[in-house]
Amino acid sequence: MSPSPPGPGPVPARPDPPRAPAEHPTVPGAPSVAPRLPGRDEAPLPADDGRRQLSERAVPYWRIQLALYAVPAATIATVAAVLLDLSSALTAAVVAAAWVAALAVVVVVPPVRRGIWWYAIGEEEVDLREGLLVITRTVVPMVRVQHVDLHRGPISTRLGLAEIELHTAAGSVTIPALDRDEAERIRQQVSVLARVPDDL
Amino acid sequence: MPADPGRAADEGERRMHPAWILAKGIAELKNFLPAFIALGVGLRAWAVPAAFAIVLLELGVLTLRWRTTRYAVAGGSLRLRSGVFNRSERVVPASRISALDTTRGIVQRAFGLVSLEVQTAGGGKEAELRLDALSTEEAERLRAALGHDRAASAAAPAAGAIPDLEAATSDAPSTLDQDAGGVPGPAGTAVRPPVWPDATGEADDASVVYAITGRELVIAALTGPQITLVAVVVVSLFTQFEELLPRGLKDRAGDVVTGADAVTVFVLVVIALLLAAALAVVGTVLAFAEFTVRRDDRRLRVRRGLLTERTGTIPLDRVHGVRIVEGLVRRPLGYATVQVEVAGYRGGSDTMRTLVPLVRRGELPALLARILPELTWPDAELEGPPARARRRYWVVPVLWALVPAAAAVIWLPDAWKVAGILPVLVAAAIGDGRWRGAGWHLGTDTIAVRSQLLARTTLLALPRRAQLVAARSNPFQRRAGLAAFDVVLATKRHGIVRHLDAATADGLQRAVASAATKRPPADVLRDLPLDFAAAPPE
Repeated sequence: MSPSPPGPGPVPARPDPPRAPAEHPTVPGAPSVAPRLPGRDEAPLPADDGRRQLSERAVPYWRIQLALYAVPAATIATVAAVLLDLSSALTAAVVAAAWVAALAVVVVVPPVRRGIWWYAIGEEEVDLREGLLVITRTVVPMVRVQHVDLHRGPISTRLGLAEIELHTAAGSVTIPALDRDEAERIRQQVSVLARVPDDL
Repeated sequence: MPADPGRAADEGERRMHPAWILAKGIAELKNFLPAFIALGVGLRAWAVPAAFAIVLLELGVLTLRWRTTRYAVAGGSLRLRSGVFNRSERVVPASRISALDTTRGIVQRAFGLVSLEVQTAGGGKEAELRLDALSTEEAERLRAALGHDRAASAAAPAAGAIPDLEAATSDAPSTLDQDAGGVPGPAGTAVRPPVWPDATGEADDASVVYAITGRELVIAALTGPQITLVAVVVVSLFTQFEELLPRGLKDRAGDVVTGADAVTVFVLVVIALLLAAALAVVGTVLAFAEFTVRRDDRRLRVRRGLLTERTGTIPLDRVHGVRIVEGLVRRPLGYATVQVEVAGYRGGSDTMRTLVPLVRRGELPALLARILPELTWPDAELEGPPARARRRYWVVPVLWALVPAAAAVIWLPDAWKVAGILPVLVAAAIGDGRWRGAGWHLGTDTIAVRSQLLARTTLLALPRRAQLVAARSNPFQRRAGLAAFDVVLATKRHGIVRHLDAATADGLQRAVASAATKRPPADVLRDLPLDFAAAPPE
């Protein structure tokens, strides 16, 4: 059916740069009833292994998407600067700044975002990291997944990409810019794994 | 067509009690009240006949609707057919019905009837279907026919009805707990006698685990959120008007209201607010009077209300947690409110979700152990965020406070510019309260997450029911080795602790995630209707 995902077990964890190494916070003065928080080795999420990056074409995909916003925004700024009838030096400065900013966003943001993104589909949960400035790591227990959507837009279809959306009772999480085969594989895998009925 | 409506009919189809017309009519004519007033002003002499005509028309329409509305239990489903011209039919399978709740308004009480609300799993905020005028016997008959009668609820192992409280606390089978056994709660000390005549014909085998006292009711009404708001506005009005406002502004306020002088307007506003406060108190008393919680093997039954008496049913296996809210006024007095987090429950408003309207903080653990022993109150103090995170709790409120502060400095005349410091000080106090209030505690099978803005809210939840578990950090937090922890329940309720040590947030995420990913034990799977064995998760 689908390739077997990495099973749970004490696998050596890969380094996770932006996080401090997990230590057990000591609870000063608290009675011993408070269980210690598990560290990476004690409670390894299956996803500590088997992390995957988004498609390489995520970068051009996001560049096109961003350009669709950045180019009109810079154009509007240009027109506004010209119409406002400022001094020619100031007009030139505004126009230059607008286009440099637009170019910077389109060039810089996609690779940084892709560098931050990873996802891991374990048997028991989906684990993913996303963000640009605010970085979020989210764990979705597989038994909570109610249904899986696979989206494709005109741009992503051209690039052979697709997006997976996992719905839970509390909201959904999205894995964007996946190779279409990979997205299809995830959809299959999750729909089989998520078939375990929840007690909700 | 049955000759005697509401009684036994051919092929099991029945109509509701004719009082339905009255109950519905009063509810609908309330909406016409503004129109009536407009009529009275516009038509003068014709107002009374016009109003009479409207009422007659309404009664006629409702009579037709009553005649054409029929319900029946057939083929394991509840069926409701209605509509005069456009006939509609709704079928709710009994297996989908999660609870049959009853409400008794004034009309229903006068005729000895109940309004039966049919709740379904995953339903919206409203009941799936409601039968607004049924005799109590008829409601009981429907309960039995749909398998929601007392016999069904007592079918569980502990069949012997346990009318007294202590037995319930120690023996209550732990429905929420699949893996762990029942959590023995401390024996209830303050036993409240189960007192009421059972007019709605509800099952009587459930034991009373909570009943509000008159004193608690009064305190709850006087410290409620609405009254707090009104009090704050009145007090600030007084102080502002008498002292804070500079003379020039005060005169201008008088000019704006042509004719009436500013003092009259001020007095009228205060009177209006005091009236609103009195209404809020009366409303709370009416809503929460005779508040009682009973518990049996499978559900909690909440009953409340004076004029309109409501019963709500909370299936225990849908309880994902409780929220303990200590309001701005209640916290200094040592009181809190408990709300329940129920998946797929229609409880939209806070009133509907309320499980305990008022409890002394000291009595909370014992009370919780009686009502929901599955949710153990942490026996240790909650652990707060680290000291180095303290100023981060200040930053956001203080930044917000800079807006009114800047406005004060710009707009107020000379000496009054000093007042700009006030919002900043208040914001700093709020920020420090947020830091002191934030905390978490991970128990064996519960997690407590506490946060504070003005009210202090503690979410006590079952980690194994978590829907999403997240850890989040912005660049500033990453530089300081901090992160936020966020757990989301099926009710879309978030439990967030901001600015935790990054390692703590990571550990919490791991702990909650591994609790949530544990699959239900095999015997639970076996009982589920889906053909699970046919699809091995390989």
